[in-house]
Order: sequence, then C-alpha cells, then structure tokens
Amino acid sequence: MLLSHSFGPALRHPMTPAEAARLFASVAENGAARRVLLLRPARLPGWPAAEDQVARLRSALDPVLALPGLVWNDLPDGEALAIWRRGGEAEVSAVEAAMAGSPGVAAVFDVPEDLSSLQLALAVIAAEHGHAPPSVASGPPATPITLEDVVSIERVIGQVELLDRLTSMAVWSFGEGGEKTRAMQSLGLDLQGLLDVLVPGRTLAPEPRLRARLARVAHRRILGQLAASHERASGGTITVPSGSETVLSPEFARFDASLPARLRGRIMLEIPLSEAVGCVEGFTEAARVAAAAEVPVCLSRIRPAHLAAIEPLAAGATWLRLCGCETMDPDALRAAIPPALMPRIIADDVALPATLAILRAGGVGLFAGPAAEAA
Amino acid sequence: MQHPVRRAIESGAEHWAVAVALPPPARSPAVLSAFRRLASRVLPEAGLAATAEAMVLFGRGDAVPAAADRVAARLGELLPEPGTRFSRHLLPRDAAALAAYARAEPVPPTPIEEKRPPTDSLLAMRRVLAAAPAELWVRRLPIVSLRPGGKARVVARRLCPDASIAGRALAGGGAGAPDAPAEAVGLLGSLLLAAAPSLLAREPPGGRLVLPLAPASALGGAHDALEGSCGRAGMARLMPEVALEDAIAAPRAFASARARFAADGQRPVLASASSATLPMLRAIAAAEDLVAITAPDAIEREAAEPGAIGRLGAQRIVLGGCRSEADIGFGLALGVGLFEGPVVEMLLAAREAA
Repeated sequence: MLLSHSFGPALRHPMTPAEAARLFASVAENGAARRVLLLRPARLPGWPAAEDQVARLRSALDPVLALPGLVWNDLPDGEALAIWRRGGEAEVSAVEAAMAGSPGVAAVFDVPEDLSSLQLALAVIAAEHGHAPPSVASGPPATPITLEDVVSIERVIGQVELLDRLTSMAVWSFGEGGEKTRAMQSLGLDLQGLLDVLVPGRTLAPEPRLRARLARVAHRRILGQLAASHERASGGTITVPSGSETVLSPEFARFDASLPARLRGRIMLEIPLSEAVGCVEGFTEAARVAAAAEVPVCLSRIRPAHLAAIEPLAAGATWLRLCGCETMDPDALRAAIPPALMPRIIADDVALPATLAILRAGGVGLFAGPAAEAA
Repeated sequence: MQHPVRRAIESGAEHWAVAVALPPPARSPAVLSAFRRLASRVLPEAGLAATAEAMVLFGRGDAVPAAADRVAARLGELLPEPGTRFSRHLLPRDAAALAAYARAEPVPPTPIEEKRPPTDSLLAMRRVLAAAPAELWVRRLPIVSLRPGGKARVVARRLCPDASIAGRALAGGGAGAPDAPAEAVGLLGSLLLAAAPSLLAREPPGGRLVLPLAPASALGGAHDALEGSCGRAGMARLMPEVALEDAIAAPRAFASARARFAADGQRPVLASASSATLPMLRAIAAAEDLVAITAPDAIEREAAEPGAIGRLGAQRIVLGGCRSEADIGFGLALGVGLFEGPVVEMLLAAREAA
C-alpha cells in the first residue's frame, strides 16, 4: 500500500475500478469538473522493495495530499486515485517529474474532458487484476432535467410504447445438483435512456423528485399497456417496474380487473426500497392492495447491509431483491442475510462466480447477472 | 369503449350476473381488489363493471350461477357490513334490474389521483416563486440547543419552502387555497439551492442554515455555483440535509457527496420520514452525521423498541416537529439536545417578547 492507514488525507475510501468508473461518469453527467491522479506504484521497478523510488514518490505526493478538498480512494491491489477540484498544477507536475523514469506509475486526468481515457485506464486495471469490468458509457455533460421537461414528456408519453422499451433479464434458480432453470423474466425500465430519447442532453440524477414523478408516469403507462396485453406473462413469470402510487392508481384497478385467474401470481411488481422508505404508509397500503389482487411485490435495490433494518417493509413484499453483494467481503455478506429472509432473496447483478457460490451455499436460490448467466 | 354491462345486455346472449352493492364505507382499493380476485378465480374470463356504489360481475355458461353464488358467499364472509347486498341476475331476462349498472359511470379516480397537482399548475407555481424574493416563500425554522434548566440557543435554521405560500401559488394566487402537497413542495429544491446564498447573507455572523439537497446535486454544477456565490467560509455554514430515501437510491453519489461535504467543512443531516425507517437511518448514518427525526416518530419507535433513540445516538439527533413541551421533555429525558418545531418557535418568541 502506497499510503499506510495512519498516513495521508483524512478522507479515504476503498473503491473498485467499476465503482470509480461509475463515479466519474456521474461527475461528468452532473456537469462538475474534477482532477484525478491515478497512481500505480506496482509499476515501479522492483516494487515493493524499491525503497528509494517509493520514498521519492511519497515525497512528491505530500504537496498533492495537502490540496484542499482532496479525497483519496484506495483501489484494490495497492493502486489509488486522488481526486480534487481543479488546480494543483505545480503539485501534479512535481509527481510527474519524480516519476519521469517510471512510465505508467502516475497519470493525471481531468473529468469530464479525459473521461474516456480515465475509464479505459480503469478497465485495464480491472482486467489486469480480475475485477468486474467497468461498464459505463461516457458522454458529454448533461444538464439537470427541469419541470418543463417533465411537462413535455407527460404530454407525449401516452403515445410511447413503453412495454417494447423494457429491458429483459433472466432470473435463474439453481437446484441442489447445480442444474439451472429460468425462474422468471425481470423487465426493467431505463428511465435515463427514455429521457435521452424524449429530451436529449438532460440528466435525472440531481433531481430525484422529478425523477420520481417521471417514473410514476412511466409506471402507470406500463401497467395500462400491460392490462391490454397481459399475455406477455403467458410464457412464465415476469416482474415489471412499478411503484406504490401506481398500485393505488386507477391503472392498477383496471389491470386487476382485466387479469385472468391463470395469470395471477405470474406478474410481479418491482418497487425500489428507496421509494418504500420515502413513503412507508403508501408502500404498506400498496402491498396490501397488491396482495389482495394476488399480484406479488418485489422490494428491490436492497443492499445486503440494510436487510436487517427493513423488517417492517420486508413484511409487505413477497421477494427481496439484493444488489451490491460484491461490495461486501464474503464473511460480511454471509452474516448480513438473516436466515429467515433467505428463501425470499433474489440476488441481482451477480458478476463474480465466487459471489454466486457464497450466496448459493448460504441458501439463496434465485440469481440474476453475468455469473448466473454463465454458470 | 362501450360499457361492459350495456354490451352484455345489447348482445342478446344469455349472461349470468352477480351484483354487489357496496355502500361507500365498504369501498376501498383492497375490497375492490378482493372482489376482482374472487371473481376472476371462480369465473376466469368473466367481465366486470364497477360504479361508485356497486359492482357487477357477469359471464356466460351453465357454471356461472353456481360460481356467482360462491363469489357472493365468499364476499359475505369478507364484507359483513350491514347494507352490503348481493343479487343474481340472468341477462337479458333481468336487464331492467341491471340497467342502473349499465348507465353507471366508470369507477372514479382514487383519492391519490385527485390529490396530485397537474404538472402545468406545478410549472406555474414554480414560475411565481422563482420571480418572488426567497424571503417570501422560504421558511427558516430555528433549530435550538436545549439542556435541562438551560437557555435555548439557536444553532441553525432549516430552510423549508412555505407550503401555504406554495399552495397559493399552485392555486393561481387565490386566498384560502390549501397548502401545497408534499410532492409540490419537494419540487422546489433547485429553487431553494439557488436562493441559499441570499438567505445565508441575511443570517447573523456565524449563523448556519440547513439546506435540503439531493446527493447528486452536491456533485453537480449547481453546487459548484453555490460555492462560487458563498465562498469557502459560507459553504462551511451550510449544513446539507439529505433525505434517507435519496441516500438509499443513490448510495455511490451519497458516498461521494459526503466526501465533498467533509471537504467543504459541512456536517450533513440525514433525515428520516417515518418511525419504521429509523433502523435504516441507524444503518446508513455515519458517525459524524446529524440525524433528523420527528418527535411523533421518535416516541412511536421508542415505545415499540425501548432504547432505539439511544442507539441512534441521542447527542446527534435533531428532534423535529415538536408541538408540545411533552415532546421536548421526551427528548431531554433521552439525552437529545437539538429541537425544532412549533413549540420551539413559541419558546423563542416568548423569550424575545420578555
């Protein structure tokens, strides 16, 4: 490790290359500007024994660490990212000069201008060390969505065939002998992608209330369209993106009225945990209404570390969809899932076979993500 | 679309129907769903029509009368309220009895639908408030530090759009308009961010403001602009308030925003909107965060889980929504030191008057 735990800036975070790539994409999307110093000390000749070289690098880094607002992110395997707002030209030049004889040890990027090259560098690091590859797109900085944009979208969304725009991902179950069967099809809505089509150049991220409003409009439209074509579930169980207010809306009543008995239980509604937390009473009522209609609810985007704290909300859901399992170490992940909840867990976004194996051994039965696809 | 009962009557084909009179007290989304669920279970391809007062289920075939009886019997168990009536009809013979249903209007929108303001009204509200001085529509709610037997000291003021003014703007300026709903107030976040520098300038030297902020906003250009207006010293006097649901929805943005807050010398406030989510607040808040909860939620949670408030860290709690001295007494007894709410404002007003 380049910096010992007792040395360096107060703000230090561990981060995977994929997380770093997403962070920088988010910085660019939100129209902010950052300077990034990527440090790969393992590329020093003779590392980690090359004490002279390491001392020279540490010495050159001292002024960088003193830059105002600097945040230090430890990547796996001893590499690091120092991030701050613009400035610090002299400090960076000193690091580059100190490492002039060791190419690839230190590199400076300005986000958003150098976003693509930075993401490429992170992809290389991920590949070299066998980490999950970053999968983020880079693009020009977008401006935040406005209420005016939402007004214009609400006027046209009635003509948009949203069901056809939903993404599809298989959820797999694994038997005791390892045999894999498709348990359900998870349909997702890329709200930002929809926005890119309807109002290009806007981002939803800084405006969660407008995002929520847009999501509600889209969810109600999806349910309305599903009421007219629920045969989409005739091939097997599907989950569709939804929300509490949508379940309590006339669209759900019409959907419920149109749903034949043979399809009840086979169309499930996915409600994100953040929405349930934002309005617990609404979620509780929605879960009750959905249960009366025999439409199961999946509470989704739950981090394993939060499972133990969501008891009242979990009671209203048939399934609990976990994400971010790979941000925890294996022991913590095993400990985070209460045994009573295990049979109701769907593990999403599982990228690593090791994570799949840990969760399967723990009793989780349903999985989605690259590792489940490849198993 | 033609009314389903009318269509069944006019087709001339034989249909069985069961009508269920549901007086308003018995009607709820859950009851409607239960009826539909039962109906579709016993009559998988049955049609259904509902009015504000009753629902009618109909279908074709010899199995329908018995199935309709089963629906009626099961609903009788579910809805024992006096006045709930069931009747069975054969169309077209009993068309007259069902004529009321055929003329009925569709089910009215749910109350939630009616409560939601149209987007055009929201747009007009935003335009009005953007043109008005922030002092007119932003409330600055005092947060005071209190100790048993000690004097109240204002430590910060929480910025919050005035729901009453926003409601008037939403209604086109009419006096007596209801308060703006939470959704409309929530949409004023970016206006509040833009108004923060001028509101900070009105504070006494060293005065702090709590500013609601989405995590991703703290990473964006609007926040950079805020820093440009307030300067580094001013930024340290702003305390970003992040709603728990926003922190959960964007964990990476929240982690990065938290780093930025620390770099700016800001102490964030993580706010929970329900007693049920207090355990989640405990799981997500970092040691240095303040946490904002309301007195009713805290009292409810403490009753359900004794010691819950202490585990959250009483010293860092901002107990909001305090309406009575009992609320403050509850907090003080648990070691809470920061309070906000109508009773706090009354306390300060009384002190000023004295």
